Amino acid sequence: MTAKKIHPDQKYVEALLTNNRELIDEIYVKFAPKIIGYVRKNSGDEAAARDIIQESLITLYDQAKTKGLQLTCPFDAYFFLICKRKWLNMLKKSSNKEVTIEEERLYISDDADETAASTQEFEEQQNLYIAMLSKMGDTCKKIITLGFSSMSMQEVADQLNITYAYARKKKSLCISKLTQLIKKSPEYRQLNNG
Amino acid sequence: MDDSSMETEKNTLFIAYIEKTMSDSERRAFVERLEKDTALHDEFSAFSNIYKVLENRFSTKRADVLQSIQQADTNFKLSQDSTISKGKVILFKPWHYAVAATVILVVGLFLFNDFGKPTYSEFATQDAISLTMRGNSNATAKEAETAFNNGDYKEALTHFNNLLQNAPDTVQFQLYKAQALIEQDKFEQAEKILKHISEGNSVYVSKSRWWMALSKLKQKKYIEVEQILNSIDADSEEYSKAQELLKEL
Repeated sequence: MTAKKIHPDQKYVEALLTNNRELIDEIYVKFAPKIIGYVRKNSGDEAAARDIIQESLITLYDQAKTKGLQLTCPFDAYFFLICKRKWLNMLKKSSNKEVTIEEERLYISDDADETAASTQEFEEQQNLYIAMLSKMGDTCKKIITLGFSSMSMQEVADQLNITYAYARKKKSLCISKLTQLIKKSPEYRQLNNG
Repeated sequence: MDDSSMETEKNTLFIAYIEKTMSDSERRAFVERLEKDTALHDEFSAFSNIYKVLENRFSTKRADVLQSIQQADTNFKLSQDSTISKGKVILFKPWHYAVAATVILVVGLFLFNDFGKPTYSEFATQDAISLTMRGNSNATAKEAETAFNNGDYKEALTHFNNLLQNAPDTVQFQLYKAQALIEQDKFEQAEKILKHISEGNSVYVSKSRWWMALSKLKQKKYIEVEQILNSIDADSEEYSKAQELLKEL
């Protein structure tokens, strides 16, 4: 199998990774209007479209940061697809709402489709992890969120009024417990077999 | 040892490896185990995936990127809002806001302040009055005159009331009293007096109508102003002023 060529639009993924504000602005200018247009045509408004765009961009960052994301297709097609999938999912969830779906007749490359599918899957996994975290006790929630923040473990220990050694041990135990919870969940198995 | 505590032990090992809190020898031993034990390797990569996602999720770097995205969203919205799309795109520059604000201000002044309409103060020029004639040493009249000419209409009113108590039919006092009342926005009282004068046959008929018109002008009752002005005799002293005010209306 030959390695696929990275598309020049990878610069937008890099822009998110390096927090390049100018290029992030450019993403909006270049790609947002099409997504807004699509959402509007399909029972949504501009505000809803902008929410979708924001969520998609941060998911894109998350995926690039934790799993690596290499674009082999134009950003336009890929980004439009992830926003579109996200919007259609939202519409499905709010089933009370009458919806009109207008399919865009555009050529979507397999690459764009595949990459968008991987982003969607990644997002579902991430959402599952966070949902499981929210089921944990307060101490574990605090120690995990603070433990991964810019705070040092000493600061976390001070904040929680526990010793440094205990904070370290507790963090490890909480992460372990969380991963066990995640792995046991049916959604996790489904996602990993799917 | 049950499954759960076994897993906890493994996870503790994974965390120690990821967070680099193992000694070098422990580290080497762990890497060796991973190479040989495929099941452990798979478990480690699953754990590592979850760990990375959590680590990223609560990182300050992610918060910074999210902030940039939100800023870009705001920038985009602002540029959208300032775009008037009527076939072509016109960028709404900040000074347009200043122009728009000025237009609103002018319209507001016009609507609420009757911008452009003549005002009471433009026409109600109070000439100095003289109530004291030769030989007339009435102290109250002198006080009324002084107060009136000084613009102290409240005090002048008290003196006119005193004067009118002694000479209720003196039209001159009545007229000045009415003027003092208008100055104090006591229109109803003033107009009652003026109406009475205008229906009489004194030399003050036109004057009373003129002041009636001014009273209405001060209340911005423009239609009534016009009607009253039109009733002023053409050969009266007030006629030219009345015509001027009519023109401005």
